Amino acid sequence: MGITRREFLELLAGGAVALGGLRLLSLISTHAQADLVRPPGAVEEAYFKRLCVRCGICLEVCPTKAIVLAGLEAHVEAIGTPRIEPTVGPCEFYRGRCETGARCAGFCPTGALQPLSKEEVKMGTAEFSSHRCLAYMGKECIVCKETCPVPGAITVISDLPPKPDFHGEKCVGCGICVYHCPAEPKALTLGPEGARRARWLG
Amino acid sequence: MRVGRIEILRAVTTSLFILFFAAAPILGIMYGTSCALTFGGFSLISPLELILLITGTKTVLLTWLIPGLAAILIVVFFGRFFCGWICPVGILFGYSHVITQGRKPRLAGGLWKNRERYAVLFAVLSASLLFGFAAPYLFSPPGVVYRAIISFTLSRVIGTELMVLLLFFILDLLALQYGRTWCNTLCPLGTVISSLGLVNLFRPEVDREACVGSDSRCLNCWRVCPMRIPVTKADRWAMMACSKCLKCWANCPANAIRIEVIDRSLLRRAEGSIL
Repeated sequence: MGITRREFLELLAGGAVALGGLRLLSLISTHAQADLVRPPGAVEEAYFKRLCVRCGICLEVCPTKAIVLAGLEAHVEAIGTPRIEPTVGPCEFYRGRCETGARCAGFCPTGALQPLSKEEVKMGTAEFSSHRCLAYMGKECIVCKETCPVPGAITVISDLPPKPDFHGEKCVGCGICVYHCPAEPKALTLGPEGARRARWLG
Repeated sequence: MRVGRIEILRAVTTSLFILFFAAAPILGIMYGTSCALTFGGFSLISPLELILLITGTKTVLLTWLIPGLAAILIVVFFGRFFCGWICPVGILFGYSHVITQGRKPRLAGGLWKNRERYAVLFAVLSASLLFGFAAPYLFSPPGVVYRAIISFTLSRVIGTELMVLLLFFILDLLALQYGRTWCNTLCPLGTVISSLGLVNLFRPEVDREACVGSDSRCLNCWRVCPMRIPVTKADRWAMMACSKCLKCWANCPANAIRIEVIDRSLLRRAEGSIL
């Protein structure tokens, strides 16, 4: 199993070329969506990408199937990582229907998701487009207000018919309002803006 | 006869594992994929993933070490058994190997040392260490396939499936070179597993007396080996790449290969060191 100097240098050169290729690959951004709505307790994005081993356990244990694995819509470095998709299911952690803590964080084997108390969690912010909202079209609908578990995050403007008003700073990004919004297409989307991430104490 | 039966057994085993990985989370028996899994409070983290966690974050946590070392312990004994019998990709693109295995008698160039895979592993780990890019998560076939499966069965989301198709296309192109080229020449997970598989249970052992290779240049075993092992001339290190697929054993015209459960020389050495 001897190895000549020439062979060794060839392998080293091959490895260096491959490393360069990987660097180029890591810079590809297929989409502007640089950031994703992460499950509750996710650590800062820079560490999340390194800590998540893409095992899919969080997706499998989520009781409401709110977690999907990021595909090609994500940055190359984030493919296969979990994100909250409220159109598939809302995150019930804040509402307290998800066992005692966040089930995904409890099962995460690497610490990419850290168990947090529900007061600390903010996964993102629901974004409202009034031009798609049924209430703004003159119909009776305040489903978002009725389903929102956070006091004061959605208030009602007394009008005829009553209209919802959003307070992004109080929103925890659970996506329950998005899930229940009956408008087609939905008047609400969930974005990662304002997310509060857990600190990585490595 | 042997050949057909072995391949059927492999197809059944791999399919059962795929079914198990798809059904277990629904039944609540086990969660996770080949990257990391957990059942009844006990977890395993794949050895490559453990290394990537350490190089990516430049820290070592006890919570990773226990599941990681447990997986390493399994790998030390069983080596690349995973690659031969469990990995969904092994069977799914094994057919490309069937096409090429007859065509290329691998005699030119002497012993295959498969050193390219260390260059690949070096590049992958450097990328993780230098700029935190864990490339295997993107294209490690078993991870991608299992993720696509659970993503479809549990959230009915199609997205990663595109990656699988792309992956198979690339793997099939690669397979024109050395059959399971990904597995035997590039796969960083395979390199890590085979470098750890010191005990290497169920490895093939060639009976030199019965082997017809030396004068007739039969070398069927070299040809059929999906891991490019020069079976009749392999040393301990080269043999650690063995996936225990039993192809060499089944294809030997002289029945000169038997499968040794435990490497006797290793056992003797262990005995010697104890006494």
